[in-house]
Amino acid sequence: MNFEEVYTSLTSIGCCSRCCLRFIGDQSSNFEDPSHSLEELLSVIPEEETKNKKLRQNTCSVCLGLLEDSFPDELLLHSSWKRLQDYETDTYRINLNTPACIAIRDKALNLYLKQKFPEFCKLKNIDEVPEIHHVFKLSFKRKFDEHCGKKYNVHSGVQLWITLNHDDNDKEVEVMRNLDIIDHRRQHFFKNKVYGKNIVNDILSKVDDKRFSRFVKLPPEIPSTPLYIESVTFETLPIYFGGRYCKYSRILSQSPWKFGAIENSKNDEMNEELEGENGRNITSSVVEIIVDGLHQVFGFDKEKIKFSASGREDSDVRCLGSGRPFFVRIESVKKTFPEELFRKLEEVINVSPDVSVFDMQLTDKNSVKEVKCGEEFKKKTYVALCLVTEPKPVEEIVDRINKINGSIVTEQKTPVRVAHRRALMARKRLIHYIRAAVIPGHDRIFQLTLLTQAGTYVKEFIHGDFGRTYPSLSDLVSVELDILRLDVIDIDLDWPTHINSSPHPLVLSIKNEKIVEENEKQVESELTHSCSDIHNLSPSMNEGIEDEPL
Amino acid sequence: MDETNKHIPEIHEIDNIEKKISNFLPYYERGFHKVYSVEFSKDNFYLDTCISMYSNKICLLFLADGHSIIKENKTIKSLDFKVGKEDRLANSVGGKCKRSAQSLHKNSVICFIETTDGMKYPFCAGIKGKLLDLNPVVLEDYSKMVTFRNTKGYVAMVQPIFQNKREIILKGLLNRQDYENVLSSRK
Ligand SMILES: [Zn+2]
Repeated sequence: MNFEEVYTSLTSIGCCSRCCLRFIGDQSSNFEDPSHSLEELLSVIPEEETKNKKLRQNTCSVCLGLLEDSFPDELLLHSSWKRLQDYETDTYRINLNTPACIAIRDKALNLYLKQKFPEFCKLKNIDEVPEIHHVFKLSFKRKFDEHCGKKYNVHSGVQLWITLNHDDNDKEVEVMRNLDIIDHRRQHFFKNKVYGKNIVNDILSKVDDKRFSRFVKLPPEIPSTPLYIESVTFETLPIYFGGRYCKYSRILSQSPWKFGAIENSKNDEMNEELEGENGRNITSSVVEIIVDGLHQVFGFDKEKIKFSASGREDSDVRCLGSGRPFFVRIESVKKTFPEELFRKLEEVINVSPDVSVFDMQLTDKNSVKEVKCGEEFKKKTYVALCLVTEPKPVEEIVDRINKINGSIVTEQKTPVRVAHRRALMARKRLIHYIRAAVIPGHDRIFQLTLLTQAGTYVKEFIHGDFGRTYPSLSDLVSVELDILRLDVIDIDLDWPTHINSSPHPLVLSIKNEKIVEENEKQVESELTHSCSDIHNLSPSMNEGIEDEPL
Repeated sequence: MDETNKHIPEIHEIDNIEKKISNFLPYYERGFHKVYSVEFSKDNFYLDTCISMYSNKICLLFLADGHSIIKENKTIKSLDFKVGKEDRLANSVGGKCKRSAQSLHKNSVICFIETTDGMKYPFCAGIKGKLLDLNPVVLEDYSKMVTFRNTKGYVAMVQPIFQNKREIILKGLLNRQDYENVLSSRK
């Protein structure tokens, strides 16, 4: 294959050396020095081409000058680079926003080559030529790195947004009206349709080659002016830390008290006193304790930290076991976060008697979505301390509860306790699992373990909330019950990666029990099947099988 | 793990647990504060409403102990929720801010209670606010508003409207002690 011929053609239609190299070379070509790379690829640089190149004054007809050496020089004059230089970071990235006409021109050249050099195009796999944006980075990354003294990294949260435009962009994009598939019933809509970059790319990816070459000039014309820089803006993306927290206090809320809320809490639920069992003054919250730790260990401004968790527990409810998944968003980027700092953070926060954090780690915007989106679908495991308010033997009640088979469906009207801030409605909720246990030495209380659908109001499920939750556990066992204490011991959200958290022992035993239960069901159904079979054959064998469960 | 330096008590490990249990208020009293309205009573016709206000200010309205129906051991025959132009049963409440809820004044009638002896007693709100909900338990079995007048026998759930301070809205309402005094003076 004669590459020289293609090269000659490319230069004659006004391609810059990097655009030529995009087609002649490949991803691994050295784009920093395109002339040298081209010399290596081509056996002979045609003499008249070398002359042409020297004379060449025009702006590249495909990249509109983006890949020409004059471009970075102009770009680096922009003041945003100074801000990047001064920012405390090791890395940065560039987001390039190019006008849509470049994509049209690129496609036009692509098609032109396909028509003119079909063999070459097959050999080179023309649809996989390095993209202009990619080549831009390959070409100038080193130059930019040296200029700002930092390393280019796609994952960096420190970014320069470079927006480029071209004088003829609007005019050239007009052609899209012909390529777009027009719905004639919506003519009016099309008359005013704006062809932004995304729409253009979308149309270009769908349009067939014939239609394209009918409306777009092949090869692209040499432009009268190069593209220009519309803006360069400096932006830092927030960073995210993920982890889990446990709360051991029954008087600490997740988020700081709002004005006036303390008065409310005095009467709140199962709390007899606000002062705390050791007379500690509770004005803090889980969030404040964690934010203080972050400030102390990482030096972040407290105002720049935003906390989110997968749900929340009432202030009088503990959260134990592996804890509740949460993340913090921090509007400040520091260089790097060594692993030890996260362990240090855990250590610092865990000094608090009320809160611990585990599994602290760096995460990202995408990953934290999991915390919020699944919030309503996550099962929760609770331990409750229940009170029998009628003179009935507790063993009998425990027994009755443990005889409940399968899951329970309950309907909960918005509880009185939250009716002031929630819409009023009735929601069906599933209690997947329930087990009661007597507490040796106590005849009025028992311990309850429950696995519930997210959003279940557990306290109300126990006592019935004036009949607004029906059936309640009280209804199910026909005994008035109340709830003395409640702990969350598991939240069914496998995020973030476990590092040092450990599940509550009861959670493990439920899992085992559920597995056993399922196996039993399976065995049972197998047995009933075989029983009916056997029944027809031999009654004596049947007896033997029925005895087995004993 | 540094976890070891924290003692996490079991859920039932509570100091003075017996005392706590005996002092533990039932859920229908925890966080509730009861006030009484007697101003609609006339002669020997006692129309007392008990307003049980939760710490979030949401109120549950009950027949109060001194109501004629209770004092005279009457049996409820029917409840009529058509009050003037309004049908309380048609009350619908939208969203967190309780749009379109029927508004109640102090002397608004929630329903008329008819007893088997043919008497009709208006049941008044006693507090200004929005009608949030009627109790389906009571709608299904009227007698429950008498037998469960502390627990699940509330008639209506109301969100009071406060102009300034809660004192204003509670003006004219009696606390338990004052209400007891009124009751003993009725004999
Ligand atoms: Zn070019």
